[in-house]
Amino acid sequence: MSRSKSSVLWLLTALVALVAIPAGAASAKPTITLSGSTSVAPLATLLAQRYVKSCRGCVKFKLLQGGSDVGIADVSRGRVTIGMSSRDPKSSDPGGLEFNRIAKDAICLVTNKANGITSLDQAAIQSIFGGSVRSWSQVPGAKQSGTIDLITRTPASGTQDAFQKIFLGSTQVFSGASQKASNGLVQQAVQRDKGGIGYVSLAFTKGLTTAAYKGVPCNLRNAKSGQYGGVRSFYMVTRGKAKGPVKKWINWIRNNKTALKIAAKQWVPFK
Amino acid sequence: MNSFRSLNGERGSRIGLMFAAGLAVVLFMCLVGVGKAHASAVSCSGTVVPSEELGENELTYNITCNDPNASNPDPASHVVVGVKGYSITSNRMLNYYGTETVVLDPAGEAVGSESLTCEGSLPAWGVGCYGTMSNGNTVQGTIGTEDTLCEASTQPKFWASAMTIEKKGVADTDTYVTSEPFLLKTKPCKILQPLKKAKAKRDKVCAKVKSAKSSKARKAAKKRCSAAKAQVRRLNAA
Repeated sequence: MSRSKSSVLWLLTALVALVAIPAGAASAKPTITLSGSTSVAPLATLLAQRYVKSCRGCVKFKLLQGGSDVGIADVSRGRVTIGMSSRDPKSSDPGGLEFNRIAKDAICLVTNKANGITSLDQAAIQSIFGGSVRSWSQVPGAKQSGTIDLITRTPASGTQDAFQKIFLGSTQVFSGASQKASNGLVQQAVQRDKGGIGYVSLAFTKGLTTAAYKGVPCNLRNAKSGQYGGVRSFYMVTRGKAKGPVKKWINWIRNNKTALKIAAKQWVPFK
Repeated sequence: MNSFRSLNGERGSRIGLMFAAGLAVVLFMCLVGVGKAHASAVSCSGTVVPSEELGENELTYNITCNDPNASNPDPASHVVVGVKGYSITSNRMLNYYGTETVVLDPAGEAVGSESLTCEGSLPAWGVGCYGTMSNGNTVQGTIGTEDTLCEASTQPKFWASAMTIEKKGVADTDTYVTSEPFLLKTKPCKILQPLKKAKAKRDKVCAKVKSAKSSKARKAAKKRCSAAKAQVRRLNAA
């Protein structure tokens, strides 16, 4: 990089750092830092927004993403106060972590609108994602006939973990699948690709056709009633029991009417 | 900037903001000087518009960076091949941002392989996003302001700065360059602080009810007072 470009970069970094400093940093308000699941992040942002308003700026938030595994690793190392996870605890997770469930979410199987797969049973899902069925002409109900383009998530994803556990069981995902780092990327990839199939959090199904799983459509009503089988939990993971402002926020998420109303818009609230 | 906020209340935050804006101007002037060394002809622009389908005080923004020379890379000079990230800052406190964005091609179609993810603090004066977007495409995302957009003494302003990926010819390795800050186009508010003004008018008009000397004047003042109260209620509801 040339010297002038380097100067630009430094000056801009200084400018952005100065202007983007969270307001009130000097007023010693506690900051809750979060990292992890890209599925939990949209809900966490909405909850943080409302909480700051309702407690009149009693706390500040800093939100990063990266996937559930990243959040869990970050919180266990003390890099963040909360790790966002969209998967259940694993035996391989570091010790001393507390998984605080805050909501539930449906994982939907999605295809391009031009293909419009409306229902898939578990055997079909395992054949498609396992790679034994590679053409849409082999899938009943498909309007497309070309190759099936599998779009999955990266291994750090909690959605990937939950999908494997709920939908695939012991079947391994086909090695030729395209891996995406977030729900948004899967959504866009399937939206763009007529032969694409993927799975996303219910909040990311806009512009796609969702397939019923075991005959039950993937929608909020069925997720709330418990009829839809592809439901997983969202967690705020803390190192040990949640304390202080983190405990207050988690309690607010679980019990406050406004928080439950926010969660109920696209997710299954805590209660 | 935050030490100014600790002066308490809006005045402190406004002074802090003015300081930041002043410094931004100084830095910008420096950038204009060094910016001349750039060979690429990249131009970034964008808009911020109120979002009708989203929640209260939420806005949709669009940012695009375009280098007309990108389709014909010259080994002798840098051209912009894409955007690696961007930051948005504002003179309004942000209390929300969409964590995911959508990248659209010039025809307005979603680009499946490209996206930018946003991270940052809440509340804050800005937000940062990173990912990948090709030259000429547009990123669309959402932000939310703490207060109603027009409920302030100055017009709303949003600036962005993009980190672009530049190359000298096709075989060159990526070089990341941060663009100069650019203003995102926003529709100005017709009336600034409408609620504050309506409340002041209500107080003034309603005070005249008590001081009215005749019953006729009192009746007229009462009518004006209830109209002013209704206007405050309307704005509060909005």
